[in-house]
Amino acid sequence: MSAPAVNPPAATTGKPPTERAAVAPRRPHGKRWLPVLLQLAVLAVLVLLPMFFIVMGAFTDKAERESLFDFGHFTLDNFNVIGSSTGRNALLNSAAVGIGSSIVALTVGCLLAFLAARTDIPGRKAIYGIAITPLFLPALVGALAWALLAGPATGYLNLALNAVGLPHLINVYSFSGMVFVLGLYYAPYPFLMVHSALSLMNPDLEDAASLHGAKISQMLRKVTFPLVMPALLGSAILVFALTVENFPVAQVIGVPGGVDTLPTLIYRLMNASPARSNDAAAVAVVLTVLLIAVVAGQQKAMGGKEFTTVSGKGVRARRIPLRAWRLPAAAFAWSYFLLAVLLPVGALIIAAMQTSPYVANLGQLTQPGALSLWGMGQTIQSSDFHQVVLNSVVVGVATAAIGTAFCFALAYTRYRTKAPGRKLLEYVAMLPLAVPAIVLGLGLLWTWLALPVPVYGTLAVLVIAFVAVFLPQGYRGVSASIIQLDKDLEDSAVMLGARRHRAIASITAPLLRVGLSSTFLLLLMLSMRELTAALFLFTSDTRLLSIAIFDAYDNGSLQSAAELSLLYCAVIGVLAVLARRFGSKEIS
Amino acid sequence: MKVTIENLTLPYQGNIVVRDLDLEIADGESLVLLGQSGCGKTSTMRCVAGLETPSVGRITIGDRVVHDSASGRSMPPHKRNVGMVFQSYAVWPHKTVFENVAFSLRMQKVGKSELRQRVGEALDLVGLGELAERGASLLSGGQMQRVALARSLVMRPSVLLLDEPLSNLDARLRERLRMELRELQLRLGLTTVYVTHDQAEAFALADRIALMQKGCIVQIGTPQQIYTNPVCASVAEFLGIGNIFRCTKGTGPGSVELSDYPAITVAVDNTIDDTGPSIVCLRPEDLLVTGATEERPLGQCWTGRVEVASYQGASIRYRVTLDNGPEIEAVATGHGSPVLGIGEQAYVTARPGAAQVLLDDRAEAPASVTA
Amino acid sequence: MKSFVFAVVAAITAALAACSPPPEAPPLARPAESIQRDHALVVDGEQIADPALWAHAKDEGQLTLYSGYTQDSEATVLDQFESDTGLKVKLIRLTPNRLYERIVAEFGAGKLPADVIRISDAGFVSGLSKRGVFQPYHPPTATSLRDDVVFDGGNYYRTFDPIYTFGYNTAVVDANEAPKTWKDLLSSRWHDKLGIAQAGAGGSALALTRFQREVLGDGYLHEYSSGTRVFDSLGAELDALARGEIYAGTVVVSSVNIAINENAPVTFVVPTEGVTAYDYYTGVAATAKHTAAARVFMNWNLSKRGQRVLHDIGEYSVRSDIPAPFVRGVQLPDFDDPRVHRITPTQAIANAAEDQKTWNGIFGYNE
Repeated sequence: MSAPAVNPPAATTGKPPTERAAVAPRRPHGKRWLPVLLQLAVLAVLVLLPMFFIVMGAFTDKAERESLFDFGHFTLDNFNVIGSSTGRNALLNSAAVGIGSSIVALTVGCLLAFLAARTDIPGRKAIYGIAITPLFLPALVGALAWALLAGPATGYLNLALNAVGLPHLINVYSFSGMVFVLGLYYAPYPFLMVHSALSLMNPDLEDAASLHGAKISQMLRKVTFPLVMPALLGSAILVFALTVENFPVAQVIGVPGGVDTLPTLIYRLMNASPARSNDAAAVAVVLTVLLIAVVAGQQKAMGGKEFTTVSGKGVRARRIPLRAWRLPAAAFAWSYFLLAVLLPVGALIIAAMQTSPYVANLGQLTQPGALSLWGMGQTIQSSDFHQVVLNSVVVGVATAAIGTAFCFALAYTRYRTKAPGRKLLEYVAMLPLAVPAIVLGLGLLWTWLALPVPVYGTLAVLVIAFVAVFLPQGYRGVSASIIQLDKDLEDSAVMLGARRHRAIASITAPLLRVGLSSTFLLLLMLSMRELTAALFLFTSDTRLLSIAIFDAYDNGSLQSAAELSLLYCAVIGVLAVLARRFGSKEIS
Repeated sequence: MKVTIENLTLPYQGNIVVRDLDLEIADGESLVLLGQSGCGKTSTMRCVAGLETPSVGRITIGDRVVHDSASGRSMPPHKRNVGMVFQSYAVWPHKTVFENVAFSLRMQKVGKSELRQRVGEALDLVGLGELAERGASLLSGGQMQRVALARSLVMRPSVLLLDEPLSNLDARLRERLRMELRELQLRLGLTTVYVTHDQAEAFALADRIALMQKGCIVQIGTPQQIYTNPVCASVAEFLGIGNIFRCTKGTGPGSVELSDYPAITVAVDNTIDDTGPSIVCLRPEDLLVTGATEERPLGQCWTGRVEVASYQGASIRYRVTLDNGPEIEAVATGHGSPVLGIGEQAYVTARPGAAQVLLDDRAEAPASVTA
Repeated sequence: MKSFVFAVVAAITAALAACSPPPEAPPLARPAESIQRDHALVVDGEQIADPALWAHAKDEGQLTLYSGYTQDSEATVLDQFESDTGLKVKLIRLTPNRLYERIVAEFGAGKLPADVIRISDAGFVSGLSKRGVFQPYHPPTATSLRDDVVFDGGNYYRTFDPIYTFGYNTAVVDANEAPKTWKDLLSSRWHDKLGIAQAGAGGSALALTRFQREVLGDGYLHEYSSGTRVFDSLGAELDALARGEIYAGTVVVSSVNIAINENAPVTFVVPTEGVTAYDYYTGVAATAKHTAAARVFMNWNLSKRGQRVLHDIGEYSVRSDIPAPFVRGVQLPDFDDPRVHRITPTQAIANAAEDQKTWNGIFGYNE
């Protein structure tokens, strides 16, 4: 599973959009299949092949393959790794971490959403900004920062506590540490979904409750919350899936504390010597099945219970007065900001500026020469850094461009043609949602090692991997725009003599500009942040910024990792600002 | 129950939406707040409901003061026993029809058997008896509106408020529900406040109409009173009274001449007011059109040329350009008179007393307005 | 808004550029006293490359090194090499096991850009040799070598032997309560504050494991394992030790040397039971594009000059004319001293799988 779209979900209606009859071109029967077949072929290579290799790897016994399809014998032995104590541990930990961090993320996210959308908390707009800012901090960076802050002996917070006489209280390398960090950084997802549901809810529904005798607390309980429940449950499942398959936090925070989870187990098995690929594949299959079961369960439980969010005239939702709770609520929101953004970024800055990587007490930091920007300056000027940033940007832009274009083709075929088999396209395109990024990355490694196309070791394979991983997001973004576009606009062009592809190019695509460009930017941001999918695919000269940070951490140089993380956030921040400027230009 | 509104003032985002409004609604009366969007009618109603808090004013329902800005006391909406039907229906989609209607009774902790009985009665009243167990999101628009109505009726409200409840329905359903609403209201003797921008709807439903503009009540009276005696030009225009022309004092007493067509003079009964610009209005149904050859009725008369003749069965609607004058709309009875052809000469006669001079308070004051 | 952002960015960049570098740490390895590059490459009186090779190498100007050697140590070596020769070295560094996987994968795909490969663990290096990753070469500087240095007909050479022992954090541990023997580490004082690098991390860890099993016994490892944090790599462990997250743990002497150079509060111990020396091998890659530069690199590594650099860092040399290292006032025992346990390649290969399995079992890691 990959990180979801940042856009709030579109308001859905109870009935599905009716498909109007297309102005079907007269084509011989065979040719109608062509576009679908082509796209299906591309999808197969992108998505189905990697999964095929994983499944084959899980059920066969050959570790080092001589040729493409030399799999060895069928066996179930690989699944013994799940039965082993390490495997069982990892499975239980994964489930427990998923549940724990989901609870934390949901609680924080929903509270903030309610405060921002429905109360008279001071500075509501700021609260909204607070709640979504952590989205720009990749989980890897957040984990590193918290390792710096709350590492058992030399974390800055512990040093501060030590200075006032308290012993080393906090150890982030623990189960609770993992739950805490994951909960912090995944809270924005339920926030966005619940906030949107609360804001788009027809305020008349609550007014009606008030008028018919409900006190405010009763109104919330009987009308507001039940109506928000679909969004809440949806985000719960999403967060659970994301935290279970999360790799960076598990590796940086969990592993040092002995909390092993399925993704870190996969990583470790792949890094063993010799690499235990088949075992890793078996664990990957288990992880994927677990996620699919959870997502499928949610679909069933939710089935058909989407509530219309019709906004009446004037979306002036009722503000619940907080009275005595105003200050505590504001304190809560701002302390979230402190914990999720201010403290971590502060820690990164201090760590990056330290001239000596080792600090025994906070007093050392105040001495002259203890902090300096020189190290950062050196890093920024190093050609290695430039190369890495260039790689990240190239891969990001290529992924966004190719991904958007391909998703446009897919969505167009699905919603604007009557080609047979087009629903299958959508199904396969959304498949990567159910597959954890680390699993997909593994499968992609084997696919592109095996295929005779020489992309392994180049940036191209990274682009391919990212396009595959983010296909669902891209597809969702583009298809939402296409659905809303009136079909008649293009058809009228055809009636006036334009060929179909000409009509698409000159009418449909320009009208979709806003939707397409926002999808482009979304894919760009997502690929800039991604680590896990590229973990097994990069080589020495195709490192991305995220990989460089992880490498530095893995080699024990936390300071270098901190420097790179700060620069990483700066790069993402610049991109985000550019995105908003381009986005607003498009809209205006 | 009687509703009294005194000195109601409601600001919103720097504007005054309702301005020092006074209104008394008798027990069992159906009062319609009529006006364009933005005139403050919905806001006034929401103040009565308690969904908005006015800055100045006092609202009394029955003998209870539900809001008094001076003393700062304001009863929350859930205690006011006011029912409301919303434009968007606001039927809760996650509950069944039964649960929707039963809501207020559950809030009052009414006993199970009494609850069931009263809900059943309310549903029968609106004709939805069999749909009690249906999920509310599965209903049609008209059915939802009835559920919303039943929901409010079941709690035996002191006042029933309706905020443009029929505007989302198609025309035929609207007319049918309109009749049913009026019937229900009269039968139950409910004090009702109805908000609409549709003048025809207002006339059909009201005992009295309060016309609102820019946060104030411009005219209040029975439908007939308002239609026959609009208080100013904007009201006349809003009511769809046609043939409104700017005019100035004429040569003799009791006559005015059209500002843009000085050749045309109109005899009027009421004197022209010198305080501001005036208009004269002539209702099309008060103007008779006859051909050159027919016998002309009594009354002041102008000549003109037929532009449009539209046969409508019971009547014929003409548009005639008066000689040296404006285009004027007039009506002729369907049978008896032949339909005049386009370009034919015609005589337009005004029934005695039909012309009215009103103050022109319209902002842009276009040259002339025909219906 | 935009101009404000630009102003802030400009200010920060200016600040970064203007910052003066911190006081330089003293160089770990002694620089060469004399370097001649005009005709042949002669450093400190020793010819590293003959004129023909040297001319060719100067043309190439650079080489790519795939190394499993600790990042900082390799950087120190390359620093000296680059100042001696002026040849640029592009370093790709990964932990030995990951390095092995990557080389195999890239070589198999025909995309291995390495000129020279340096890796520990006999199993890894012989595996690479069998696959044909190396090409044979006989450096003329490879004289006065000890036994067991040349392998597979010159495919790869044992180049140096790092020393694996244990160390502790001097900031949290007082000198008088410091552990002095391996047995000392088992006391309850260190419970939950010990570290070890996982056995699969490469030849170093396996060598240490062999030593611990042979000399200290399996019982020792069992006791050690309770309350020990297992690290994926030596680098991570040393960083944690320097930060005080663990108080004591297994360390490599040269890494400690480099860390102390950066003011890390760590030190190492030469315990009575002994230390482990494990092999590091270097060879020229069959896919080398910069063959001449690669050969100069090999020559330099095995020359007296190169070996002296390694000695300064804290490694055992493979030349008999270079003494045992002297690190931070501690003289390490001679290579032939019984306290120095070197695991031979045959031993390593024979015991690797079983050692790893047992170790994983004891430490509950990756079973």
